[in-house]
Amino acid sequence: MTRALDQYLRTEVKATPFCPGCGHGVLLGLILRAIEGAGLDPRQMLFVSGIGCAAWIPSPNFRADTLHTLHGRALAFATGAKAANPGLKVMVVSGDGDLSSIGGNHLIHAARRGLEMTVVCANNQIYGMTGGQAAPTTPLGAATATTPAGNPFRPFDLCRLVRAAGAAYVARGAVTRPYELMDYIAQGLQRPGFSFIEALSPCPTQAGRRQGLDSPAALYDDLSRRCLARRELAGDAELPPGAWELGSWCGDDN
Amino acid sequence: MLAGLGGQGVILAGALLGQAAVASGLYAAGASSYGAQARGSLSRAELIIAMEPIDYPRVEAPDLLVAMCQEAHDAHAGLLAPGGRLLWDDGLVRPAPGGAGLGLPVALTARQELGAPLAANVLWVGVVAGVTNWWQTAALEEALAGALPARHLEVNRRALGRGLEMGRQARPEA
Amino acid sequence: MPSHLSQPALAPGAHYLSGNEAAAEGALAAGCGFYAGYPITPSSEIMERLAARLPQHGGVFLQMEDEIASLSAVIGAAWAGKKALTATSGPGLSLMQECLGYAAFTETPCVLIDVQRAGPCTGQATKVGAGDIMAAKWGSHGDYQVVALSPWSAQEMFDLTVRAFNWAERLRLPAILLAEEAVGHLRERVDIPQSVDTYQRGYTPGAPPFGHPEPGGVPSMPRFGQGEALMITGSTHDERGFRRTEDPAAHAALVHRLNHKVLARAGELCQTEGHFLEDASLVVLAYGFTARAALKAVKLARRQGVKAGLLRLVTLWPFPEEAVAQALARGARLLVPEMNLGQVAGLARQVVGPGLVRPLSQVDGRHITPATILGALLEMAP
Repeated sequence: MTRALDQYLRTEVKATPFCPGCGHGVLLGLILRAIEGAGLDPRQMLFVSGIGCAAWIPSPNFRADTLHTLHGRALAFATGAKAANPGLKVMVVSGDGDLSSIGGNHLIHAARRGLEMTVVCANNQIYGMTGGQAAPTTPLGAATATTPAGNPFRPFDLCRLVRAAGAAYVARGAVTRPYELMDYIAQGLQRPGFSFIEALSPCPTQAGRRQGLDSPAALYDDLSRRCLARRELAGDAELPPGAWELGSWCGDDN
Repeated sequence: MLAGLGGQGVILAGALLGQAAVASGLYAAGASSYGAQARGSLSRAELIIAMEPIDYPRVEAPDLLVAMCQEAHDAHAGLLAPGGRLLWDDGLVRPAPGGAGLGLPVALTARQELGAPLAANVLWVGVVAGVTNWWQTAALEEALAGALPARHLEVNRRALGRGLEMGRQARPEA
Repeated sequence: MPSHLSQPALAPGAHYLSGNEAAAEGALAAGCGFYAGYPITPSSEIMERLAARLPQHGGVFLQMEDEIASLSAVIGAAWAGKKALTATSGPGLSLMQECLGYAAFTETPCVLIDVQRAGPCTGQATKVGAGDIMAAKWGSHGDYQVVALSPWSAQEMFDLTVRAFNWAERLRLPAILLAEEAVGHLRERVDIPQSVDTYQRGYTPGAPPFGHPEPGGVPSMPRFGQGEALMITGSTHDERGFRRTEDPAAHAALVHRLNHKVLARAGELCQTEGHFLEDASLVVLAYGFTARAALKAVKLARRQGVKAGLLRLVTLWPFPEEAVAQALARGARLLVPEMNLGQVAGLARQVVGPGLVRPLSQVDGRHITPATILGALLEMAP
């Protein structure tokens, strides 16, 4: 299976930089498969990323045009490239801190503007590369390097945020449900306008070990338990605490 | 130098005169200053016209000063170059006792004769051109057509013509 | 090399334009195909004019959510193949600094027009200043080079915008037009030429986009969508674009190469203009709008028998050390009037030593008048 993706990878890059158990390696493969599944060739696309672990998913691994930008600015760079050459198929791959904290303003404005691009936000709920500090997506009460007594603030619901800002297509999936997530990414790529896919991707090194989930297996089990597909939720039932609602929303649902 | 209050069209008047000067083959340099409020603060358009390139493009002591309101008069009259000419709107400005210069009923003419109080600035453009004889009328008309929407053009053409008349009558030699 | 003549968008001949309008026309004449910006006094007329004019000429105009996004979008557009521009003023320049470093480090051609106002901070938004000289060169972290030009007239807002684009494209770097409010808002006759020299970026398929065999060489500049599988990164990279974040030699080589690329061309980049320098014992060193006042002051001083001259800096970065040193070689002393607390005076002192340079600083939001400069010249006169 991996071999089939070689043509899309810079095989001279010997290893990804991701820690053992990181969800981003799985996500890397899912993105390429989703692109192929949508009938596109990644080698003809432009991948824009910011700063952080997730930004290294496309850069330098994908054999494509990759633009590894400044922290938070991936969407603004992508907006310039897409507006300058509307023929480019543009995907932005970056992390939750990059896209929704330092880059939060660009996120809502890119969604509002609606230029066609697909954003894959790898959400590990932590600043991984800098050593496990709290992100705007870190759960209330979670221990991190900068919230040793527990995070006192609520996290963003990124899908709600981006939907409210006017995105054409929004979805949340998890690397623990790879086929669903792949389908969401492929759907996003096929939509005209701005699409946003939140990909839950666990971080054992910086999040798990501080939160009592010290093996990747425990972390994946925990994420699996928390994920509830929209269709598995009865009616308008409230989400149980700590649960994730997975699913997709189209702009016209808003 | 033209001075008045924001909203009186001072800056546009300066731009029209500069535009027409360049269209007549002259060199022109204009600057304007105004307060942060769009309406009601002191506003000033300065303009230099010359036969050759202009070294320093700002007016230090104007040879001609138009005061479109009292505040503008009081703030700028002292800048006038020796031998310079001061014109003011005699319905809106009460000049200093014994001050040299000439008051013209520009706002009144715009309101009563043209029925267009907002055209007073273009009337002043005509006055300046009429007094100095430095501008070609065709260039002024062309500048006007380039700067104003069609629906305002007719009345402003009349304002320009009326201003030119008033200005010619006010020439020192007239 | 790929230099050619382009026709300006505006009809050739005399026009009456503000400096900001002239800069927008200069950008169009240079072949600018993309503008992204955020409104800020006193530069907004540039973006307003381009909002109307760029689409008429097949270009793209975007109003972004802030200045950071503006220069980010410009960099993205440059790699998508457009000659790209943003314009701002001091507070926006401060916000753009990280992107400026990115553009320098990734060798992205782009032009930034800074219409300076009285700073620091929000300062006096509608008033003039020239306090961004150092920020334009040293504002982003690390050692890098930019090209910065200083226009003194509406005509030069046109001419130097064209030149800024040409340097940006030729050297693959951010070029900055360090304008001032007094020039941006000055309306003047601007003579639009029949044609302007423009530079098209060089591209050799397959050539490394971040390296060149010559020490000062400018690499080939591909764009997205050409099948080059470009790797652009603001991290330390090799000639192909692979990150080399652990390799000391790679980092040193890249930093040196990017600086050398510019400094090796200082002779050609540093443009100055001399007035009455032949016998001058007092030389006014000035730039931008202040040089207009200085020229008048020098002429007035000469009428009073003072042998004054003017050395006008058209290029501010790289700093024209050679021309400043030469002006002093004749035994003259320097007067440096500027709308900041001695930013260029300090550079001049580095070149000629502290004793021969007299700063004349004014930071009250007003431009320096000929009378002020004349007064200082008369005081200095033997």
